[in-house]
Amino acid sequence: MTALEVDSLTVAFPGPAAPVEVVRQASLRLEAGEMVGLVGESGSGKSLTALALLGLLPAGARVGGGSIRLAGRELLGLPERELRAVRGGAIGLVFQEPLSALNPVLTIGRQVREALRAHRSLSREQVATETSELLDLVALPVRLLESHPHQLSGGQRQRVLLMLALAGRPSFLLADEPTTALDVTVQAQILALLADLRRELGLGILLITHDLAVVAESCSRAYVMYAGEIVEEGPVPVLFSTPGHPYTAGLLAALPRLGEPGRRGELPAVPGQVADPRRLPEGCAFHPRCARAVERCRREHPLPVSLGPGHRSRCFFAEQVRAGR
Amino acid sequence: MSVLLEARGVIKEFRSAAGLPGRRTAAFQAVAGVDLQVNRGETLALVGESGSGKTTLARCLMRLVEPTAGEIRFDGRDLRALPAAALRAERRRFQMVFQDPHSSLNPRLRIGSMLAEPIRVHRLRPRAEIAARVAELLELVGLPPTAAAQYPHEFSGGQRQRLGIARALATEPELLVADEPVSALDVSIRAQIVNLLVALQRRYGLALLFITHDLALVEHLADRVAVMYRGRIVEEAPNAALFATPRHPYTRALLRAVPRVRPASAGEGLREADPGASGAEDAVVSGGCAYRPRCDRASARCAREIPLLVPPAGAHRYACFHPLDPETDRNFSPREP
Repeated sequence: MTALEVDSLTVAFPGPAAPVEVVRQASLRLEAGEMVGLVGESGSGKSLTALALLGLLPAGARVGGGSIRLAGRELLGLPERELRAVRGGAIGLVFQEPLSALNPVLTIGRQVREALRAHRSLSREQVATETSELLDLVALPVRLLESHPHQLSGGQRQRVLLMLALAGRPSFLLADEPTTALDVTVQAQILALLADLRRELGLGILLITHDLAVVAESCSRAYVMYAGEIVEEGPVPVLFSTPGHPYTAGLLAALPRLGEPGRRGELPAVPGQVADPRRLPEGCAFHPRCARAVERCRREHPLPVSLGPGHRSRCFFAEQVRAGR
Repeated sequence: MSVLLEARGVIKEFRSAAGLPGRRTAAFQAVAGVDLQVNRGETLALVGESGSGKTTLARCLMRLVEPTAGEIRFDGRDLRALPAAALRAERRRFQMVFQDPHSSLNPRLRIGSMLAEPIRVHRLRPRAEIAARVAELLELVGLPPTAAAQYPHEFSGGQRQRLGIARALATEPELLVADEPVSALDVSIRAQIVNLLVALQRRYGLALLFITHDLALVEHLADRVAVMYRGRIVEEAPNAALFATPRHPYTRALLRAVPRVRPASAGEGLREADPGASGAEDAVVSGGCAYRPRCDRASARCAREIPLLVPPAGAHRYACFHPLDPETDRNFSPREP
């Protein structure tokens, strides 16, 4: 079974005094055929984790340590030429804003053909066949091949982007906020499509998002990041019903939910500001916002505690949080 | 309940391809004839997807853009008929909170000056009391008085939205129009800002027009809800009625598309996708009901006639010839076992 494995990944930007670590010791694993959520707010490091997987970190950022293995093969330190083959090959990518990811002056058909030829040498007939297979996969009509990106709706563009990502026959897909820019009705269509692709092609999908609801309904497992660190991970039903980290619990409580309007005007808010990676607090990075924080949390950095099969939390009070005490 | 803001027949047309020789300009109605009332002290949520015209409508109501046609009355006075000076004075009474707190604050103004300006312009406090009022406004939105000496970039997104709210409150308005005020904020910060808006609204008896695409949030805070589609209001109802017994097929499609946080059967793509085929959301419709390409109830009549909101004087109104039955189509989310 192929898997994408990230072990103790650290990503840093140069800072005035010391490097600013924006991803710290992140470990995660993605199997073929599963959809896994990577959840976090701005500055949590979720997108940088994904970019590091592909060797696409922005200028200045560098990997400070750890390993990234694809089916056992180390990706860190691979020459750019080989990384390019992995990107768009074994690992496909879908971004939030499809309009900026597409070439505005080329037709969709041209861009799909280029994507198909980028990683494989295909005959004209093969390109035609694979193009129509891709169209079927993402449920787009043939006539769209003649269109330019600006002529498509947001949902259609996201489908085109998925086509391009699938052109290299990847076994993994990294989808960074793929539905955030879309309306809810279209969002539902794209998530249903991702679920279909996972099933039909056995794709492993890492869904990077700030939206817990999207994770709840589409992923089997999830990782929750805060201030550069994975603070909790677990199977989605467990994570959402009995979270073991106060941050996860706080996020879930703060979400208004359809059909539960009873708490009008008083959403239980998580107090304070999202942690700034340049000024991380000592000890547990979440302690300034945490109602449970004690002296130990201010001094000591918590290690992950196991709470059950696949369920881990970086909190000294993980057991109590999970029990709702 | 007394009406504070009333819009009648508001239309806003934009022209495309203007100025190209030999090409006819096409008019596009972003707002296609809207009647809307906001009562004193109430929260009216205006819901719609991108392109529904909700932001353009809000800007017309605020007189930030000039509507092509229609009447906008604030506390009984027709804002479109007011002379410029009178309109400026009236503006004090309705204020707007914007989606993006990064671009809506002047980066070169210290917070103190930013908050003092409207107080001075509208002569709301004697000069000597302005600094104290600024400190009071900051306290109201949960910021320390020292914030007055700082610049916008020194604040986080959530704090900037607090500043945006403080600025709107500076003129002591009776109506606050908030356009997606929490959409750009982090999840853990959203609840703080929502709670703040609701608390301030209660404290000052503000009317709140809350524009959003987030239906769970609407259910949480609105007294009444108006649903917009393609420039028109297609349904309007008290909160409980809209969520329990939506009458317009579009409202039901929206409600069904809301993601659920309960991971009842995770990984199986729970939401029902919109019945409209992919891309139908963009189909160009001329005449008749704009929703019909996505609607499974559409008939020949829907292609001929534009449905009006009925019943005309009802609390729960819908613009559909084939509305959902409140008994047999009751409720939208039988997803839980």
